[in-house]
Amino acid sequence: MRTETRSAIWRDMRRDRWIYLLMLPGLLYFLVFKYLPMGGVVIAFQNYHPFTGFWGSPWVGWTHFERLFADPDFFRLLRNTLLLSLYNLGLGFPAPILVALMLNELRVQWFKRSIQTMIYIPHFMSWVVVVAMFFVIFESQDSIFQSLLAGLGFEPHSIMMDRGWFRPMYILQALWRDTGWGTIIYLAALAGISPELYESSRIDGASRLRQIWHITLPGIRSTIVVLLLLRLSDVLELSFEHVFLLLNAVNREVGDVFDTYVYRVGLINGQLSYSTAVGLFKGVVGLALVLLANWLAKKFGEEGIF
Amino acid sequence: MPREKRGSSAWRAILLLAALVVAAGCTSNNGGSEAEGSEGNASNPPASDSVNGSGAQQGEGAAGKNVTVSMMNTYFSETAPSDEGEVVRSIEQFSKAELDITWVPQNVYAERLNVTMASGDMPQVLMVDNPFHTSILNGVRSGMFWELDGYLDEFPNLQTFDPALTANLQIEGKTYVIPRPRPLVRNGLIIRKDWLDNVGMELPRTIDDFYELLVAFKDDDPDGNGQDDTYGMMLYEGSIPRDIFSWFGAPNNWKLEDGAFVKDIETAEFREGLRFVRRLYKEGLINADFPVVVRNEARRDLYNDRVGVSMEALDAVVPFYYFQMNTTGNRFELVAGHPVEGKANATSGHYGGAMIPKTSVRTEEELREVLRYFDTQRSAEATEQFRVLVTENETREDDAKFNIDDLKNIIVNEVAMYPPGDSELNQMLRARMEEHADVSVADPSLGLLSPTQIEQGQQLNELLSDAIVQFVLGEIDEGGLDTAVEQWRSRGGGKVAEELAALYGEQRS
Repeated sequence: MRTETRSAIWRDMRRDRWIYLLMLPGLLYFLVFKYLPMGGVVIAFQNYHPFTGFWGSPWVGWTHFERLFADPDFFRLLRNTLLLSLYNLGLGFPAPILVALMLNELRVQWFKRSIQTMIYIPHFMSWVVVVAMFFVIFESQDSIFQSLLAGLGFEPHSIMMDRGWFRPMYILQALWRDTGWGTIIYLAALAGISPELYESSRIDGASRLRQIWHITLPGIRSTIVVLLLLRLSDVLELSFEHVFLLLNAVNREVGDVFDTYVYRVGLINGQLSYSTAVGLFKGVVGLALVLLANWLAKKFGEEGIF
Repeated sequence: MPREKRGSSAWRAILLLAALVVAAGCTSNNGGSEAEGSEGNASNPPASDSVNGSGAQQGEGAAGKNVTVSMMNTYFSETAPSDEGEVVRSIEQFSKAELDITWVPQNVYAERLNVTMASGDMPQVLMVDNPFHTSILNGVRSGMFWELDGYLDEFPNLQTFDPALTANLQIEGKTYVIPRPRPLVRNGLIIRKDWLDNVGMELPRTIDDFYELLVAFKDDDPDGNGQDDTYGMMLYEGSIPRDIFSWFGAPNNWKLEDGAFVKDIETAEFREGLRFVRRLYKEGLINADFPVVVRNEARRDLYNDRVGVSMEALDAVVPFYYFQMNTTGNRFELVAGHPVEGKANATSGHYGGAMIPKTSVRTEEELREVLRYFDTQRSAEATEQFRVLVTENETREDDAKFNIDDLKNIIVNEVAMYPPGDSELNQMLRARMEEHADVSVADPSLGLLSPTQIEQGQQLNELLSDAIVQFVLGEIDEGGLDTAVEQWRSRGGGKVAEELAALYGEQRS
């Protein structure tokens, strides 16, 4: 019986070999670029050096993790990473929905189109450009913002050197850059809602806000949930360059996150094993968050991602 | 039937592809062990020695033939020196070699060095700016670099370095680095000469002079445009030159007291210096954005008549000249200052140097080829050629000049260490450098490799430098500074001090 099913599988494979062949590049891609490199995490348990390689480097067990947990900076890093991620999620996720709803209410097409185009543009700027623009507009001594402050009779104030402003500054820049881009999918989903629903609701005398609440939002609800879950899968990804560019001696206390720490210890200081251990730990935290979110999603009766 | 045949050849192609992928995976995984193998070969003395001995002799016999040397190096200019440019061409000609240089800007050099070492794909020579950096030390300890002691005897010109310098560069008693020599004291005040004349002041000799100079540069309209748009001294990237603290009598990094090591920030003199800098900041004598502004951005103020003092490597007056040439057309002159209060910090006397990885230079024969390149570069003949070139460069029209810094960063010859020409600028610089060297204080921790410092130095230094910036900005007070120092001590700073003291004791006995 067993051999029979096995030969049946072989027969199927043989028959559909061209289809399997089509699958092969994809499989190889994941194998070579996603799964093989994962083997590299073993260096988190070694005192790895490139010259001695995987086989020659001594094994040290959990030493690097012990060092990380004993590091007085550890809780600072964890707190900053989680807080920034949560702000990013809590504000960065609803913002495109809000903007998409507002755009949807615009009646003059050319106006709507031009607004859309304008708010897409920032997405194509790298963080270096965004932060540089911020510096020119708000920070440098003759900037518009500083002149404005002076004109209104205030003392000059540097936002980048004020640690209380670090998180708002980070979030606002992220919103400025990516909100417009995020509206694309929602606008597509909004376009799919049947106009008949709006017509009949108008006949029933529903106001604009009522229409949004009872027709528009339910219409894009499944899109929202899927995007939310997708977003949760990389909730701890804080675009390294962005944080890194904003960091300085004054705001490191609130701005230092795991990614920037890994960069300093790993790339600048060349402690590959330790920084891998830090990265691995961050991965574990991220996984825990995704599992939690998925569980919650299912709890509330939505479909999870797995 | 033909259809079937095509099918099987397709399967064969897939198998081949799969085999290739597996093979590729294997080679990349085995990179480390392969390198290990070559190390094994190299340390197999009897066989390789006899073979390579004759190889080297052949090499010396055929001195007319150029060797090719690949290296990674840094640059400070706006753009990397051209491979076809005069600097590289001349070095090739004088050193009888072909150079293949990978250029990396100075501000990302450390990370690029680490990435290069991690990739294993290295040039024959790594020009390392700081051989005592954690990653380099780990490389040395894992056997990544050639230990040169056994080979230097064969190259007479590689034995003519200042012995103090080679001693400074030894790692655990062994030689791995061919030094790029630099003056023992590098940092000093660099001041705009025309501004100095405009406010009618002399070069500062005391802290009070210095303070008054900054005030004059801020308040007395030194550029004469009738507007209050200037300030005294530029700082950048949150770093405050330690020489300022030395004026107050603070130690150079560490103070050695009855065999114990005391960190500079723990001394009263350093604190006094810090209060001074805080006062400068409060009175607007230094740029308010110094914690965030990057170096080249800060320098723009110097070119745009906003600021008149900087604290830099003294010989930077010369490269400044070249940077400035493009931006301002050399409207003004810069002058190097005296050591304030007759005090200055000594540095290590080198800008790192050449290290030779075993992954790219696999045999002793190849190693000798590379060493021969450096040896030729230091020969009396080459030195004279360099001297003529650098001196002649001084006398050229502005736009025909090359940046002498580019030259100094490639060669391991001290010929251009001090400005060699007879121009007024060169004479002034040489005099100032000697003045500084005469009074300089050395860092007692130089050459002592504290394990804690190696592992956590980066974080520990950051802790202190952040606290220093916050104190200068007025974000924290003396108490906050004490807390930071206490944190530094408990997180490993105290251990570093103990280790340094122990190492120092060992070295003396």
